[in-house]
Amino acid sequence: MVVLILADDHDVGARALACRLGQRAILAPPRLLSQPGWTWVPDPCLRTGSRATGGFSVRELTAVVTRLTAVFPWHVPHVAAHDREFVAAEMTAFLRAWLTALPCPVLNPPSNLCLTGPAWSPEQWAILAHRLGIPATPTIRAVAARTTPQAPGRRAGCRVVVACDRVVIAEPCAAILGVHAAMIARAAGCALLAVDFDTPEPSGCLVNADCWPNLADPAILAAVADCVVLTSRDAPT
Amino acid sequence: MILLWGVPAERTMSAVDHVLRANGLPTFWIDQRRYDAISGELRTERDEIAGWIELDGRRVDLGELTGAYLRPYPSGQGATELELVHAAALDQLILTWAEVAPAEVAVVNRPGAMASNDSKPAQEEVVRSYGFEVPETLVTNDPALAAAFWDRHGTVIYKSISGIRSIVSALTIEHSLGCGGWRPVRRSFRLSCPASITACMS
Repeated sequence: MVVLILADDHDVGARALACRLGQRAILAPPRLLSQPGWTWVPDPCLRTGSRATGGFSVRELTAVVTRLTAVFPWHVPHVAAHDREFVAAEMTAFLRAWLTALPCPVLNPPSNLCLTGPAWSPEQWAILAHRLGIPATPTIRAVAARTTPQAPGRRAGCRVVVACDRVVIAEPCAAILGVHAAMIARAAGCALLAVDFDTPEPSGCLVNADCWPNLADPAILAAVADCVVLTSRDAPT
Repeated sequence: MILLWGVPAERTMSAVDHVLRANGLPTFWIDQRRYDAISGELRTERDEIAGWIELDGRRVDLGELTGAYLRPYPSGQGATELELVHAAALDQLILTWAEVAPAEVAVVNRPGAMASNDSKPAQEEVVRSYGFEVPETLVTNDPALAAAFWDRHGTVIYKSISGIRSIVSALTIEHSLGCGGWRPVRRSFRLSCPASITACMS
């Protein structure tokens, strides 16, 4: 089993996941893309990457965990300052293609707008929830001329994490909220998803969701590690 | 009502505006040079989106919009912090509406669809999946692979793969190329990120 974890150098959760997986993990910060050995070709099985100890083929990978929305200029301080924005955009474009259609599971697969899942707005999560018959708080996004804007969403009272259909409720939340979170994760095509509800009561309404579960939480880390191992087992060899 | 988002003086936007007017179609401008005078609101009502945008006392209900042409410039250069925050929030409001506007609203283009332009190889795969022929392409930062690809095809095109700095050129030994210092020197390569080379189709 070999798991590639694409993450920022400062992503403590990603480091924790890599530690938990031990020798089976390749922790790849964006600057590693400057190391020769990365190749995209249309056939996903022929793509290659590079790690500190040398190159690898995607055929060696049993799962990929992505924790990056994109590559940003501050990820590539080794590049000349005037080229950082461009190189970061090129790396993002590369990963967007490279991660698509891999022969192993990608948690979560990239979308056009994000390297980790759909990166939807609170409005999009609310609309999805309503379509699934799950209550969601009304969102309001207001921008008044010459004043500080009001962001959408409300304070969450309960967060539920979904990892490969397994629900982790780190706080006291009604079990039905776990069912709702799993439905939302499935509908959004996200194996890993954190879903916020406004209250822990069974009547809790969705507030927002994101693809970055807090891996610093031991229960969530254990669930995500299990999820990666589970999906690795399902990956074609 | 057609929403136009961008800078009216810009040639493409001006042409679109002209054609719409000539066809008697009403428009509403979100003029990026007037951001400080624009207000708006976006809210979800069950599984639908609603709201309004206002400029100079003219308020348009988002439900009245039947189409939108989006061609914004990056917002907020040289602005104060409040202006930057206001511009970013306004950008986000319009982008969110454009993404979730009902299917019958013709949005050119929805941000999620438009973003496929930001990864040429990913876009190439979509193009290929619809049956179009695409030239053999390699995206790599492996100098040996790049050189071998060049040797195999004779003439190749080098191009950037993201949506910024559109660098497209026939690859030659003489000229130097971008990507933070990728320079073919006697067919040996130095790259600081994967770059794309594409075989020329005969």
